[in-house]
Amino acid sequence: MTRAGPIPILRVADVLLTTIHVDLQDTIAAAFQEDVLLEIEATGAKGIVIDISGLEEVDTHVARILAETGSMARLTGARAVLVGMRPEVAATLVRMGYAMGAIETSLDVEEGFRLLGAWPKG
Amino acid sequence: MDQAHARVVAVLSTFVSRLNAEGALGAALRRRGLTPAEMRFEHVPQILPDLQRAVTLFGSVNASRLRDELLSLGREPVPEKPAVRRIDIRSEDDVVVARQQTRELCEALGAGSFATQRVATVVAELARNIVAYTPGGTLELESKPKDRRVVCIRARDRGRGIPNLDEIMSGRYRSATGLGLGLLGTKRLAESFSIKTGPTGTQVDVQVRT
Repeated sequence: MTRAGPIPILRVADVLLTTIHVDLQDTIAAAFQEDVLLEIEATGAKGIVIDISGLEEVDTHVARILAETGSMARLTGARAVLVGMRPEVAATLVRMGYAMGAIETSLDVEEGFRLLGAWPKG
Repeated sequence: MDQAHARVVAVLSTFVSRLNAEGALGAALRRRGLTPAEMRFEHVPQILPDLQRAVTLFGSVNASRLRDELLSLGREPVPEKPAVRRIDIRSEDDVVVARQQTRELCEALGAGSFATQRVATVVAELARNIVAYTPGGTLELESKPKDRRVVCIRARDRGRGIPNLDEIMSGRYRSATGLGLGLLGTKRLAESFSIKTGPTGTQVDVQVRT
């Protein structure tokens, strides 16, 4: 599959995993959202874990892109879990009065996989 | 004792004994009718010939080095007033630059990670608004002169102004692109927040405590 954006999306068992490590500028953000939707459709994944532990800053613009991506994924029948939000980011977003909307959250990638029932038992 | 007097004695003492240094300076000042307490750095050129003459009596002295060292007193560069960081904002890449500059400034101020995050987020919001809605603008960052732990951020743009500012700041407005959230969120992170907007542009002044 050809992807438009620079952010890789991996398939792990029946869920997808993506790590955002670049600033979600407008063009990258749009391509990322398309890639997520295309990948969900192509793989039939039941969920996607979006890891943002590499993002130093999440302003309302980036937060909105992430929340939107979650809503889009949900419309295609997949659950999106946002993981790895740094404490500083969480505190700042809440102080700004920003709610992440429909997207689920979890501490880290492992917990995100558990939430989606995709973590191997024992 | 005045600082100028003490500094000149200190320089002279590197050439002759301290006792002789104080004696030579005292004599030179008396001839000008000055007391040690009245002496200032600007008197040095006037008393320099007397000092050179007196000091060379007490030992073999490199007279030109003595002159250079005495004349350089009181001319140390004045500590620079904290520079304002000014960043032109036109593209998304400039937003990244602005955030990096902000982090550097916060680090220089010894701000913690949560405070740094607040300041950097405010800068990102203001810079992104400029990129998204205007032809361009500038961001200025500095620490507040009277309270270094406060970062002052001024965003100016050459856009057409924000027509529905009141609606936005009251929280009733939600734009498709997120301007309302950004400005309102910025205000919530700020210690002080003011905004002026008109048909020739918008200026936002924000202070954030670190």
